[in-house]
Amino acid sequence: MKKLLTSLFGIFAAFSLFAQSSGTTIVRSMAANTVSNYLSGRYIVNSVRLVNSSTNSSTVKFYDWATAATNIVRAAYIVVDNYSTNYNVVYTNSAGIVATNTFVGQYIANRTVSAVTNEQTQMGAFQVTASTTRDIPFSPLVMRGLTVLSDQAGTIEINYSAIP
Amino acid sequence: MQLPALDQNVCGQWTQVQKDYYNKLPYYLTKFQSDYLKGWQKWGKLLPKRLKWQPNMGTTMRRVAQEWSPNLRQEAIPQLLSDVPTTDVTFTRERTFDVQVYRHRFQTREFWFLPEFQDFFQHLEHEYEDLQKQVTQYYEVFLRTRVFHHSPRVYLAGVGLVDAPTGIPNASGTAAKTDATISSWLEQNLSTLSLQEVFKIMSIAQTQIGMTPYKGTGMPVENEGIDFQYKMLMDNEAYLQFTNDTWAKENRVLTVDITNNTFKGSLFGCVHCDFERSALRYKYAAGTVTRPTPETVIESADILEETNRTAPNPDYTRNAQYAVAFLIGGNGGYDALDVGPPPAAFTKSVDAVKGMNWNGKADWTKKFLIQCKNSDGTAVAELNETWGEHMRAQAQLAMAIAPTNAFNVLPIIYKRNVGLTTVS
Repeated sequence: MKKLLTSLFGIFAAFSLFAQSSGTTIVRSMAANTVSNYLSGRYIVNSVRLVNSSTNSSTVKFYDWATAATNIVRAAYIVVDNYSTNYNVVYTNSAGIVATNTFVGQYIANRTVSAVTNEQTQMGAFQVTASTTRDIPFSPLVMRGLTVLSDQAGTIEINYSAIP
Repeated sequence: MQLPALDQNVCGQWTQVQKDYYNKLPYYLTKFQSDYLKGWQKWGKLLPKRLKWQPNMGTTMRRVAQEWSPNLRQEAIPQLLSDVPTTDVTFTRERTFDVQVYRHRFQTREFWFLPEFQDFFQHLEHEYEDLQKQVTQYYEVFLRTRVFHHSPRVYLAGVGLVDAPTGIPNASGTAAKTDATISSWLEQNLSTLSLQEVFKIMSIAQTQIGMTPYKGTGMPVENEGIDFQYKMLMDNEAYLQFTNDTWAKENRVLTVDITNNTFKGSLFGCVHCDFERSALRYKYAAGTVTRPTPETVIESADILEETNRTAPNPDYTRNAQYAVAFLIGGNGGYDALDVGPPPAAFTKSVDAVKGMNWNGKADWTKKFLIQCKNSDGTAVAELNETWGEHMRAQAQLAMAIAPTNAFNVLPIIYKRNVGLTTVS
């Protein structure tokens, strides 16, 4: 039985190596609470393996960003609000009779969102239990790069391919 | 031996001709045809000039349309005959939109007669043709620019439908769909333009937006649904990418060959795809959105095979991460305007000065000032007509577009991807 398991493990290991051979693999250590940028540009991330070397469970966040930063300075921009509304129009006709029309509808208006520095949109956040390794179900297409923030020390292994 | 010489005994003498002794041409110039990617029009054909604008019609055309009253009921519960009946009070509204006319000028550089007399190639005809192509391209991009900025909603692939600011854009990107607003969209987790997204978009276009069909009756067909078909004007790159679409790969009929062929056909039988020459693409970096030029000119001192070639711009083809496709419904949603000629008095030739036109047709002219220096060395302007040595081609284009049913066009912003992968 043990032999069988060993051979199965061998087969899986071989498959794993085969799967990773299609791209480039980088292995980097991650310091706790330090933002790191691992890729810059457009890439397909084929696989990500996280190793949590601390005795606490870790949360690892991923951002599509080209530099080691999680915040973004957003210039003021416009959004459009859309909500139900009703309004009254009081109208006096030529005979002096006052008519009140209540119109019911949907109101649409531009709203300016002030310039602000915020956390960027995360592509994903994953937890890794203490002192374990996890292959996360995460294979994004990054347009700007891959930036990672982990709250615990560990290692990250990324297999990626360039978009031609 | 002295040359020339007579009666020489040549035995033992060697009188070879020097290799550069006689004259020769330094180059043998031969013409060749520069191969280039063809251009075509889509927006111009999609939005034919249905409206006419003539002189003396004022500054602004106000378009007015009557709307039907809304369907407000999901249940109908009338009163008994013996009771006082309740009443539905209906009323219709009008929708208006103001349209104004814009114009743009095009011109070549000024050509002097001497190069045309001496040079191997004659350039004027080529320059004229090139100018005409640029005018056509400008109009195509004008229509697309205005369609994008008038669209009241935008679909962000992987995110969903968002209400969008509309209006008339400016060159600094601070009006209508501002650069900052576009950036705020690109900062989200957009996805590629997948068939799964297109399927969602079809449903959203029909039910949430109320887009009328580009083709089809819009009427129900038993066991088939409503006869709705839209057009999608898109980048060929995105269409090619459907060959790699996860949903297509999982659900294709086994006889559909995607190894010896690419994905072909309309999407779900409802979306007919058509292709732009240079789709709208965005490059986003460090919070700033830019629109790289689709083509560039290669300057290279080393790679002579490419020097001066008009080629795809890497910033557009490789570095721009996002692109826009347009889902289009009934009548293209917009009416382009046939602006008509300028006022009659100005279209006539007067005192040998050519009449004014703004229909985009290029004309040659010699009526401009040329720069020269007087005896003091001071730069002055001189009439070109004096000697008639210079000429240039120029064109002027007047254009306008009316967003008749702007909701019938839905821009879709998506991540660009290229290549086959086994990863979704």
